[in-house]
Amino acid sequence: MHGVSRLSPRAWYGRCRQLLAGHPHYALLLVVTLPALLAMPGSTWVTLTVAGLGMGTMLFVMASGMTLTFGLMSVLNLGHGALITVGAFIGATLVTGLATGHWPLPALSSLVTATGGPWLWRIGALSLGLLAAAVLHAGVFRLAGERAQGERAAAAAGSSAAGLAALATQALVAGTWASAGTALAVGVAAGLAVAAAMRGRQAGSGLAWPVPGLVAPPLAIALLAWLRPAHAFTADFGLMVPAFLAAIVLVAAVGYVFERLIIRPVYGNHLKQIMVTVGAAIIIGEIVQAIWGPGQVPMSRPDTLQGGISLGTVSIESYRLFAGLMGLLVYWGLQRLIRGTRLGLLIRAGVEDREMVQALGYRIEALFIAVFVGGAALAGLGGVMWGLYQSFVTVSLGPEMLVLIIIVIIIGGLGSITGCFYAALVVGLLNNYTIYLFPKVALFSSIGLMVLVLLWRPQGLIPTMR
Amino acid sequence: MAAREVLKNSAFQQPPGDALLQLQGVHTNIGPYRILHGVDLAVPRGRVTALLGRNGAGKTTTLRTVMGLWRARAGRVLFDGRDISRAATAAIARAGIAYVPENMGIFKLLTVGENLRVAAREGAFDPARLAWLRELFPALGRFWDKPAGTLSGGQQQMLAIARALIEPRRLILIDEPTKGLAPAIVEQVMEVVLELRKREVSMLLVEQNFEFASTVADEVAVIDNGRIVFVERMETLRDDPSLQDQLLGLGVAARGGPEPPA
Repeated sequence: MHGVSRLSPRAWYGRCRQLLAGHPHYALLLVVTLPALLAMPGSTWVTLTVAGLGMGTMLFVMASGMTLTFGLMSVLNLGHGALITVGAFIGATLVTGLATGHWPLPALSSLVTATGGPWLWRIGALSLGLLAAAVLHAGVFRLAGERAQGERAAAAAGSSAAGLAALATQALVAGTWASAGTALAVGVAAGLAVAAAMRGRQAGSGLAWPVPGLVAPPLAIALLAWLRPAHAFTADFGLMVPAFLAAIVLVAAVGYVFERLIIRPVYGNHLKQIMVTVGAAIIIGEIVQAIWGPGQVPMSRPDTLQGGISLGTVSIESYRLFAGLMGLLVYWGLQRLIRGTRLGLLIRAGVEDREMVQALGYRIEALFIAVFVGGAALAGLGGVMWGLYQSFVTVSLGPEMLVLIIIVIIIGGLGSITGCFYAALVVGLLNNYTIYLFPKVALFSSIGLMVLVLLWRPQGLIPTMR
Repeated sequence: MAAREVLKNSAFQQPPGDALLQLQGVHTNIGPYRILHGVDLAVPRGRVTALLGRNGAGKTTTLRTVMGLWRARAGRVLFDGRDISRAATAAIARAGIAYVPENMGIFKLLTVGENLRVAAREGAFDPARLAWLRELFPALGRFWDKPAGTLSGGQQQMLAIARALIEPRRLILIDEPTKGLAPAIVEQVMEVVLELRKREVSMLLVEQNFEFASTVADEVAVIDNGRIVFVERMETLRDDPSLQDQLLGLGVAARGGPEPPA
């Protein structure tokens, strides 16, 4: 093994092999991106790579729920695409509706003034939010048989919900949806920042958990005041936030009903799962058509995210950049959840051996519902993101994406969040490269990639099953 | 059958002390197969009970039925007087029964520390307990941050047992802890079980290795064809080779040698 330090070609080869065997996801990323660099001009490559990464992270947001659902309970949910469709339509309605009319807002504002005034509502919203935080905190873990007293992440998320509720009211009182949206976004960020700062102080008692929720609103209000000069930006950009939030919350609710009604009766039987979830997807598609009609529903991006940024000869579509950043944020958050929290520990254990998790005293069904609802929420978010990217939504959006999603989760290794992320990036990149280089085989490229990866690693990039 | 004759003489003698776990006429099917045909078994408090029997006699099925992983079709499972035969597995575990399955049920992609953390339902470890376990299983500390899948078979078995002990439990079910382990490792497992016996941990131990079982157990029950055919103090069986032959079949197999052809 002395050759390694001398860097002879042989040693290099060995070193590379070792690295690639240990990190198949990096290897695949390199194998796809580097040859593309040789096949096209550098500026085109940068443009396509950013575009591919943007597409990839959107795919990841849509696929992550499905891979966890399969990993944890071995449930094949082919209705996942329908959840994406529902999210996209909810988002389209809100984005278009809010941009054109600010519709329910004046009515709500007058309701607030008519019923006790803004301060009563603020206090009410704050206490409701705190209650929600407490329920979230206690509920999720108690359901799973967890008697632990503090889970920092859930507590922080829950208590920033308190801040959010107060902020939403604040914005409602103040005037426009756009400022409400920005307020919510800033509130979340502030809540998470405070929560992150508090992570080190685990020793603090259970009393510490509402602190982020209490600190977040004033912080967010201060930030808002500071942001005011950029009002045009917030008015425009902030429109997306209610759309994202509504899609997340409503699709999570749809996901809960879906799990109880459709998935629950067919646990443990793949054939029935396929039939029943495909059937459910068709029904949901019909319901969507009944509500929104059979045609395209337009969904225009906020002006801020129209067009692109050019740096010399390289031009980058700004929405793809935004989508990429959002996707990265989701990936980071999911990794924090999976690697850094107790809920994540139980999910990882459950993916490996759900029987043993039960035998250790946890109700795996409760864990599964939580994961399914979370996955549905991400499907909804992904639907809005994809709809904004396309600038329109149709009923076939979900089913079309489902094909790519299935390819992504198979390449990534069923049940692995890391694998899913890198597989989504690779599929997104390859798609963009091949559309430019060989438009005729673009459709085939993802399936071809899947075949090759499975020949190389039959269990996917990062296997999670035994 | 020889076992049937023994049944007439000694079956269903309750062991001394009150029973922590009691199976009454438990029938369990796996799919179309009837595995348990009315198992009656009492596991006394504070003692180690060995459940012996040949392959396919229903030992593992008995443990899985207690844990609720397979459902009893008929009969009752009483844990401390409470019927748990309809309870969910998670509830049974929370009532205080730990289970170490035959395949050990280690989460191979999780680290050793994480494996223990999953089992510690309070979230945090009890420092005294952790210190005791680390003393009992020195390898745990050494490989704390290593994926459990990289441990040797013996170390995985130690981890599986440690995981069952990380929280105070009232009863521990262990399925064949010596299966596939080298003799030196079997010795170590034996020391651990003896240590637990000294601490009066209640345990139901399924074994094929009679040498091991006869050293660590206070009580013995033999299962054959889905029924308990023999219940006694372990000394009685240990001191009577002809009874061993009669109950456990062929001498070599019963003493931990290679298994006879089916």
